[in-house]
Amino acid sequence: MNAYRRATVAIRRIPLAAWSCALIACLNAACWSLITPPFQVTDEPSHFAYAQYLAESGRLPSDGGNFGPAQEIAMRDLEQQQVHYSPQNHTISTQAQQDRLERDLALPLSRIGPDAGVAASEPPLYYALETIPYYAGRGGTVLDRLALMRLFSTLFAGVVAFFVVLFLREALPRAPWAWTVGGLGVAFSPLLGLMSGAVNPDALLYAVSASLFYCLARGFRRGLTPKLAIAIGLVIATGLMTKLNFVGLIPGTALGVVLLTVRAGRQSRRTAYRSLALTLGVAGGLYVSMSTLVGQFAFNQLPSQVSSAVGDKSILGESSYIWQLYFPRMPGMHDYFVGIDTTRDFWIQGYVGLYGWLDTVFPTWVYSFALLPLAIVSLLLGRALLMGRACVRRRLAELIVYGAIVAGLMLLVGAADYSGFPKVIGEYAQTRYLLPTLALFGAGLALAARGAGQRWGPVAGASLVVLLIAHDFFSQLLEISRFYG
Amino acid sequence: MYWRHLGTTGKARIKAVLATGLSLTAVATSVVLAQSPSVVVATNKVRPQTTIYVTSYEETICQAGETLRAGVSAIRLWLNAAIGPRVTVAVFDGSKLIAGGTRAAGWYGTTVTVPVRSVRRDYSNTRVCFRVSSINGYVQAVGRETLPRLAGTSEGLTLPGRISIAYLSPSRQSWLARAGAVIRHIGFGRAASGTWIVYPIAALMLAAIALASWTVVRNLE
Repeated sequence: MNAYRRATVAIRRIPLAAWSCALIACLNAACWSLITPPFQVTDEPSHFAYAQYLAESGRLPSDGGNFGPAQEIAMRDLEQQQVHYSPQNHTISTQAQQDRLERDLALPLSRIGPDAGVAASEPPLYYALETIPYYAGRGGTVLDRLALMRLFSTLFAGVVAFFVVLFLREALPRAPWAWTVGGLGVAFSPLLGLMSGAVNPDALLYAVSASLFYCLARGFRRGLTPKLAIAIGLVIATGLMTKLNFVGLIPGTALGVVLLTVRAGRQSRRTAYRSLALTLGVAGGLYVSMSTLVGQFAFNQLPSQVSSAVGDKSILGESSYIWQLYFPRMPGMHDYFVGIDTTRDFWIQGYVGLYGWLDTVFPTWVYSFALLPLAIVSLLLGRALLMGRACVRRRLAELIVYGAIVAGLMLLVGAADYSGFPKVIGEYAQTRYLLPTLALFGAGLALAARGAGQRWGPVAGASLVVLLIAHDFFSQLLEISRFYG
Repeated sequence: MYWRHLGTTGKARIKAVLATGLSLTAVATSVVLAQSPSVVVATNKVRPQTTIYVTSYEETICQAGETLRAGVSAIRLWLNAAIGPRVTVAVFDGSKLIAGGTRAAGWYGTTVTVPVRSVRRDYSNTRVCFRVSSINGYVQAVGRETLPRLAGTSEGLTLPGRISIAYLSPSRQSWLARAGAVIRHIGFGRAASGTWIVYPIAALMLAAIALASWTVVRNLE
């Protein structure tokens, strides 16, 4: 069989649900990209400036705040500074303001600004890809290019949903209907739509992470083959070139690759070690060569993220801080987050609805009400795990790997947050930083649906999907009311 | 493959769930659109120009000479913090408490809006006090510098100015009645301006929901 036929057969084997979930995620993110005003998603001005400077000069930006005259003027006319962090202020709303914006956008201003603010320390892969729509918008204004770049970014939401369904196919092979529940749940995640509908490397990071979970699940189900080993290596290198946060996924991934190698070694040690070497070689080789090419290594940026490596703060204090960033304080711990239930106030509320520059919120009762479906889903998930405890025991190693990936990411985010302590706390307590684990979120939804039992499982799954559609829809209405109300 | 045994009954159930769920969403949307947004009905005419006070501790700040109109349902204070503290507002007419409310810690932004119980008539020359607690880091109160006799106070100390305050109550128009204005507003500040933008937004959302419904019926039957 030639390569073309093999590829055709492989594509035909992909469940239709994966394609439809991918398309839905793209449509949803495109909707978010149109609703959200320009530069009104966290850090979008910096990320746009990075891609713009890379496209215009071919060089990497520095971390100052000079974004280039064209972008600065557009942001001034859009009153970006007055609107962000200030929910009482809406976007421009008069014809006179619009006329001024259009007049200024037409000015032949320079697009070259050497800085990209907070984005400057990030690896360049996402921004290099964003130069494609940037160039496609040649002749257009800053806002034309931003709109095209946002639309390009929505494709990554599709990739996320696609790989989540494939991950579920490997992780829950006996419940094909549940793949749809997980895939659609992810496709309608408002936070995925918001971030993928903006210019932000998180969009690519989520896509890479979802594909990593798929590769690992495939390895645990079908064994580590040389082809899969190369794929894992490629995904790791891509992740490292996408965003610093991917480093948090590395320890769990390394554990997974080692376990897969040990398992494969029971069949053939030679093939197993060759596969391990391929993963390491592809990941390391690509990462080093690409980083050398651009002159920036992601790992070099880590000391500033992980404070204990450079600071004079105690490891115990840092551990306590990181614990409390996610979970309730335990007896004997110093209270780092006074009066705040971090699990609920940061992470659950962050998922339920905290959009724009974290300044777009639902009325308080919505967050309390959301705890009810969350409790029901948690109970159903618990029931599913209890019913399948024999399977859980059999696949404990795989679950430990997924847990290690989540823990690694949480540690990285927590350590980055601790670096700002005591001056600023909770700066990184944003749910979007945990979205690289969306595949597990999808698995949780699929399992919860299964937890309703064989008879009612599909009904529970359909109910979950409708609930998530409603969540997404009302989140979009919230965004509209905040910026245009 | 047990899902095949569900047969038409299973498919009918899924369709019923979808129809019910989407109908409920439509009903909830109608309820939301029939409600009125909170709008600013009055301010204390203090422009938020400068930081008046910074604190890291639990404190109560008061300022006199405020006017509380009938029907005010929320009070907005210009406070700034990395993670917003718990804010308790109390409005006094002389020594009598006439309105009050609390906003829990954990908010973001440059202002905090605290819901309060509304009063039936206007009160002039009231004293607005707010207590900040559960502070993580520091809190900045923003307003404008004034003469000491007009300034706010904190725990007996006179501040260098007054803090900006706005008073909100439900608009007379519902969201539905304001829909035209909102659609016009969406059309501003874009790559290609105009109200046409709402059509692709609606089309994208409807397409996503329709495709999701088809996928659910096809795969969950």
